[in-house]
Parts: sequence; C-alpha cells; structure tokens
Amino acid sequence: MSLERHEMHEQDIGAYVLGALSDEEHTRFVRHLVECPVCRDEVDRLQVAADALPRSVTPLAAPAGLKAAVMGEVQADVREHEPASLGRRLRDRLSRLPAVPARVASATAVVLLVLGLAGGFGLSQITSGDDERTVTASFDTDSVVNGSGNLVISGNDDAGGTLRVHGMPALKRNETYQVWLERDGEVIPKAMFTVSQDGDGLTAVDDLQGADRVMVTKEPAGGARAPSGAPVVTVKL
Amino acid sequence: MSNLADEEVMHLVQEGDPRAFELFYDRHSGPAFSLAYRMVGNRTVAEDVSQEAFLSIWRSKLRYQPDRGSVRTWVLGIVHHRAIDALRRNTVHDKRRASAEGIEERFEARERTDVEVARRDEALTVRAAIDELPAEQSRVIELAYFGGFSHSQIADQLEMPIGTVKGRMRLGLEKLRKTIVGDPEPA
Repeated sequence: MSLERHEMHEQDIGAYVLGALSDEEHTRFVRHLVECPVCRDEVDRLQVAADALPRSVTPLAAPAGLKAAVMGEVQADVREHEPASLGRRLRDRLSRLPAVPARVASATAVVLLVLGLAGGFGLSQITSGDDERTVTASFDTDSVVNGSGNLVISGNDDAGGTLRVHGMPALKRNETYQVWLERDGEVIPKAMFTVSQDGDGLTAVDDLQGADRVMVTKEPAGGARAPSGAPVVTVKL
Repeated sequence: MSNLADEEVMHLVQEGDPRAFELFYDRHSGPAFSLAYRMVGNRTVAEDVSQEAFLSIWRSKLRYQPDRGSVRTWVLGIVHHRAIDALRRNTVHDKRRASAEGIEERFEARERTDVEVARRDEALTVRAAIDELPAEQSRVIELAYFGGFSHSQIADQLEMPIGTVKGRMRLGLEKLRKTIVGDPEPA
C-alpha cells in the first residue's frame, strides 16, 4: 500500500464514520481498511464520537401501537415456524428412545405424530411429560363464544410458559390482548399479543413460579398497568 | 428474565426467544424511536423505521458483537442505517420540513423513571459536547449523521469544497471524542 493511497483514504475517515460516503466511496474505503491498520485505528477512535451522537436526541417514548405492531409480527413468526420446530423436537426425542426394531419404531412414530396432530399441546405431555405440563384455559363465553386454548408450562428454572388461544374475537386497530399474572393476590401485567384473522394467538408468559392464575384481558394498544375489565381467558394453576 | 444483562438478553433473542425479544424491545424502543424521529422528523415514518429495525434484528438474527460496543449502540446503529435508507429513498426531507412544530413535546417521554431521567441527563451531556464544537463543524456532522446527507450533498448545500467538508467532519469528531472520553489526542 502506497503512502499516497493511504493519504487519499485518510481524509475520508470522518465521512465514513458518519455514513456520509457514497456507496462507491464506501466500498473503496472498506477495501482500504482491510489493508491499513492506521486507518482502522483511527476509525475505531472516531467511532466513539459518532456512537455518542444518537444519545444527544430528545428522549421520546415509543408510541404504544409500535410495540403491538412489532410483537404481533414476532408472534406471527413464532406461529409460522411452530410446525417445523415441533417436528424437529419429535425427531429429537424419538432419536433418544432405546433402540427397537425398525417396524416398531416406525409405528410408534406414526402413533405419536397422529396424536400430536390431533391433540396439539397433548403431544408435549405424551412425549415429554417429565419437563412440560399443559393446563387448559377457560373462557368467558359472553366474550369468547368458541374459545379454546392451553398454557404449556416448561419445566426449566425460569418457569415460563406459552399461552395459545383460538377463537378469540378480532381486535380493533387500537386494542391489544394483555396477559396478567395473579400471585398472592397481586395482579402483575405481562405480555401483550394480537390474534390472527382466525382468532389464533400465541404469547410467552414468564415468571410463573408461585402464580395462582394467568388471565387475559382486552386493553388499549400499548397495554395497561391494571386490568380494565374482567378476564376473557383464565388459566388456573 | 428482567434481571438479565443486555448481552444475555441478546443471546436469547438470537436463539429466537420471543419473551427475550419483548424485553429487548422494551429496553431499547424509546431511544430507537427518538433517533428515528430526530432523523426523519415524521412520526409515521419514524414508526416504520423503528419497526423495520426491530424486525430485522428478530428475523435475520443479526449478530451482536460485544467487542464492537454496547447493545444500545448496536441497535441505534441499525436504526441509523434504516433511517438513512428512508431519507434517501423518498421525500422524507420535504415531509420533515412540513412536520408540525412542537411535536416532540407531545411524544416526549413523560414517565420520570430512573431510566428516563438518565436518558435525559445523557442527552443533555452529549448535546452540550456538540454545542461546544465550532458551528461549522457541528453543522456538517449533524447534516451527515442526522440528515443522512452525503459529503458531496453537504458541500453543495453549504457551497464549499468537498475537502473542506471532510476535514470539518474529522476535526469535529476528534474534538467531540476528546470532550466525551476526555483522553488526549494520539501522538
């Protein structure tokens, strides 16, 4: 690398750190960085100043609807990928079973798969009763006419679980479902979630240790600090 | 889980844990939205930018590297890139000029939690450091970082040579660094 080339790129360091180079210049500069430890050190030094710039802005609260939108997408992703992960878990567990004749193993897999497809959460209990348990949810039939759902509680130290509901009424744009935890008479706000067009919803519920019940209410988007109405879903623990 | 450090939460997020992601969102959404709004000057676009940034972290499992700075710095870097994309692909610059005055007051975080107080104090400290810079240096830095303008666009706007713009950027950053970190210039 020539001194001339180094000096040519050196004057771009500030613009690079601020993201003010054109795409072409950016590519050239990055290529130079690979072979120039002096410029790399200088970038690291000035990056400290650039990293401080966003901390100078007036602190604003993120709009309440933004969280509902982001977490709604996240939960939809979780639902979408669920069958694959379920299949993977099934395969993993089957692979840990003691060796049996191939014909028997195959039949076992079919039975488990059929039970799993038919029973949904039941599969967890059948295949892993030692580390998960499933509790059926009850619904306020005035609000949720054809509701069904379960809370699958994991057995790890965190004592978290996954609440799945079906047949939930659609939410308005400015509404969300919110989970609450009741423990020793105290009602603690938890996650918010939305439901699909079919009324399916899924959310994680953490810190279940010692909880008496999990409840769901309909709240304004962004959630509430205390339930604003009677629960539409209740899971007694 | 709420007691976990940011780095530990990120580890869970990268494993696809939605509970960890919600906690991650709760911790960083305020600063992320604040930066996006400062850059694009329009609430709707700022929400879009913030949403894109968070979902890109969730979906692409972008790798956080602890040796490159804090989780907050990493998140804000992603928001910054998304906001620049938004600024360069449409007419947000025009919308920003037309946005309602005083809108920041309406959305300003009202909760006086310890976290909010710390955010305000930090903002005032960094703002003061920027204000200490010569005006011509802070101008080019702010146009580049918050405005998303390239050095050649800034040179056009300010009617000065590109070399001068680049020089002021570098000098300004160097001074800002010294004020923030408080260490001497390199030998």
